[in-house]
Amino acid sequence: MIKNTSVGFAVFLIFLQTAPLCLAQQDTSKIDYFALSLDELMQVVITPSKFPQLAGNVTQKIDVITSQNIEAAIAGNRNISEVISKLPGASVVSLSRNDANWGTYGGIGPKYSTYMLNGLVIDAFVDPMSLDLNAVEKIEVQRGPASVFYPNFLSQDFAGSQSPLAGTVNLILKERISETRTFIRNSFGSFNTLNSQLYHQSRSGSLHYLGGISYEQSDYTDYGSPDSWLNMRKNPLYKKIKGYAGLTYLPEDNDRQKLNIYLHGTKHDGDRGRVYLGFQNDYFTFNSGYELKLKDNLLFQSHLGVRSYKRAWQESNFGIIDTLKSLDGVDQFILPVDFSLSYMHHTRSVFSIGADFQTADYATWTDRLNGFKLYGNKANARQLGIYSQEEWHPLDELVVRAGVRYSRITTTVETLNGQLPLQSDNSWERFLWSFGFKYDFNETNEIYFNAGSNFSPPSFKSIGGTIPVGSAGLPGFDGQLPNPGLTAENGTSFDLGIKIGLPDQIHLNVRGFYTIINNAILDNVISQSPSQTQSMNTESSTAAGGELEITQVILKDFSWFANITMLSSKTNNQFDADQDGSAIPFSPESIYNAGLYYSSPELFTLNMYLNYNSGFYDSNSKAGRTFYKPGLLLNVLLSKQLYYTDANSMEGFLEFYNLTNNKFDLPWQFKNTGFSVMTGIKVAFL
Amino acid sequence: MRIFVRVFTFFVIILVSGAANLPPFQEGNRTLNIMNADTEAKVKAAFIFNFTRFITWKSDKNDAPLRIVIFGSEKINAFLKAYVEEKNLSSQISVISVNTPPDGKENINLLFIDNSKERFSGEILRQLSGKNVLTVSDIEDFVLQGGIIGMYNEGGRIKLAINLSEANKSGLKISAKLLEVAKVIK
Repeated sequence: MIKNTSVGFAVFLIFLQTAPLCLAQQDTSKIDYFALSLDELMQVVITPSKFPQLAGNVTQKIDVITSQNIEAAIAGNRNISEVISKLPGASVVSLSRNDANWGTYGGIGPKYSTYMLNGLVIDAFVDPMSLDLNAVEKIEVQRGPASVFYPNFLSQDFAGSQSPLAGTVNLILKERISETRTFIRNSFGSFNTLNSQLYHQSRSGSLHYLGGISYEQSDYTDYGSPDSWLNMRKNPLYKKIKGYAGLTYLPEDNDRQKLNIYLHGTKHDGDRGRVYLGFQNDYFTFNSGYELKLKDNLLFQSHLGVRSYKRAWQESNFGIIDTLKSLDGVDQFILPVDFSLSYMHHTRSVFSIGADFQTADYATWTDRLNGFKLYGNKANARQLGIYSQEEWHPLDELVVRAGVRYSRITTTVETLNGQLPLQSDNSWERFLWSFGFKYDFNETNEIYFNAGSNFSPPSFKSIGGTIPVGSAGLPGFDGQLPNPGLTAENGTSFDLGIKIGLPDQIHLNVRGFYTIINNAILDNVISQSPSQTQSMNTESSTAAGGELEITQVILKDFSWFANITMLSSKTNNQFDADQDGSAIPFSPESIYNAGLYYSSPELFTLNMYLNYNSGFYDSNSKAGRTFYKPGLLLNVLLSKQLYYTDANSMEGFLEFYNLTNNKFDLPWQFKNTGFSVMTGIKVAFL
Repeated sequence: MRIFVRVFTFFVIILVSGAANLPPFQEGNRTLNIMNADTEAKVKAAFIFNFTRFITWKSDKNDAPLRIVIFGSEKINAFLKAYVEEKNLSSQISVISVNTPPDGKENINLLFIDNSKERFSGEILRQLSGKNVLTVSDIEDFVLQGGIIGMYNEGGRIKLAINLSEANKSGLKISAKLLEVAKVIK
């Protein structure tokens, strides 16, 4: 079956590769930008990761976080999700510097927004705490149901397959290097945290390259709530080393084609505050992209990636003297590949077709000190997607976007929770759709609407669990309980928004959204100690909300922003009164963000950011859930240029994380570690 | 692993077939080069060219060509030069690329500072302040730093911002049409 699918896939791809050449011979339309008027030039959309699109073909709300914004962001838990937390709708629940973010986007749960690296899917749970931001040029955050361009990420770990139903986060890597640049950044701070970074970028003719190493070690501190199952007896030490390199080929005198390759590795090890609770995480990411402009109005794009996630940890018996029980782990290997063709027609409209494929190997294992691994779950999943989309401009002010995607997911299970499965092969097929429009009233005012559908089958982790069936409530068994009866979920999402420009450089955005997931698979915390979670189907889950945001640049050195998100989420299950009517886990009722930026003539800079999260439940079981209220988080960054010439610069900085020392509790008996400070120096030179 | 090998093989096949289909480069054909060049740089170059139509310099009364200096972007320089040559406008417009920051002593009418040269912008603007030079850049908040025309990305589109008081101080007259489409900061 795999062979047939693959052969069909290859034939389709070869068709994609050859068909456009035939089409292109008949099309002679070209855009001469020098001949365009000012008005027309201002309608040209430059989207780095896609074919240049005209007149705002992107109908969703897009926020761009620039490299300057990234540098000014404070990630107390070293997680990229913290960088986007200032945007409306994002609720970040980063458990610790050693654990993933379990926040939500748009109130619908932690797995309905996808992360991408240069347009190719990555893991929303692991990669934000693995990838290094020094290689990132900008982050594009797209709110609302995504177009059919973007597939699910076929992860089988954490909350399972991640879909772009509530939005996408695209990390755009630096590609075009205009000058040689090197910097060293060293900082030291709370918990004896030492952070060192070395980065270099340069170019040689058509080859643009970058590379770097980052290292961090820390004594850290107890991140378990009182009486937590973590039972820390000492500081949970950790070390994290990252290495990365990127190469882009951009022909100097002709941009017909572009090739980029990026490699990233992270080695993260330490312990959870006890002698026999060590962990070791090894992550590897490979990303490559190729673009070929077949004609001026016809672009071929392809991407190939490799994502390898290996997490291993020790399990121990907790007592007066701890004893090592086992070494456990999860291995996941995912290979995504995609191809697309974009055909620009009638000056501003774009028709695209494409295909993508993913294969994911997933295994959970335990070594009971015997020197060999016993596999609990061992399985493979494949996903094939074929899509087509038209972005049509019937009027200068109006763009209408519509697309359809065929998606097929196939799974082959070798073992499930240590047993042979009753059914080893399974598959799901769906036709998904996406629609949107945007109307520009004038330069600063616009209205937009988007809708789309998606589906996700249950992940292997949800079905097979990571601990035995009979271990519910048993001490010493921390992990995920299996639920082999899970079925696939189907979701539909809508959003409607307006953007208004006001006097005095004030910009106002208002957006409303509604998402419904039928047969929603939710992760519920079953027990706090032992720490156990189980995935369950509900009849449906709904999330509705509204966002209001305002930004203003008052003076050249002073700007501010504020936004509010109000959410209402509900689980519907007429067969279970305990679940019926409860809120979706991790979905807060309200989130508030505010921030300001000030830069003085003496090259002194202040960045202040405030976040307030009204709180959320960790389960949709009304009887068993716990309410968590993060409340206020206040971060401040101060920096000053100490030395500055044409070629070199030296900058000193102070980062204050969680200034109010708010040690709020988090799910799974984690807690925020409170106030911390980092100070350091960045030296840059040509 | 077998599926990995298969997919990787298919990927290589597709790339190889793509390379085989690659239209031959026509380096001698300048027009083709322009049309195939990087869109963002092309659009910025087109904007810069457009500005010459909507700005009046004090020196416009003499016959010397308008001097456009590009600092930090080989692409924009190449597109502008190619277009000026293609349209036989060399007697009216001269395009020059520099690698070192202009110090204000050169004869410049329009200076574009690429965002990769942001660290030089403060000093350049200080030296050019009040001189009859139109400063243009895609540096973030350029006009708030004392630049005259800033290009910025909003929703993926290039928008314009104009610092009118700096333009007036520099003795530049900006047409109403340009002011109409830009965000004006007084």
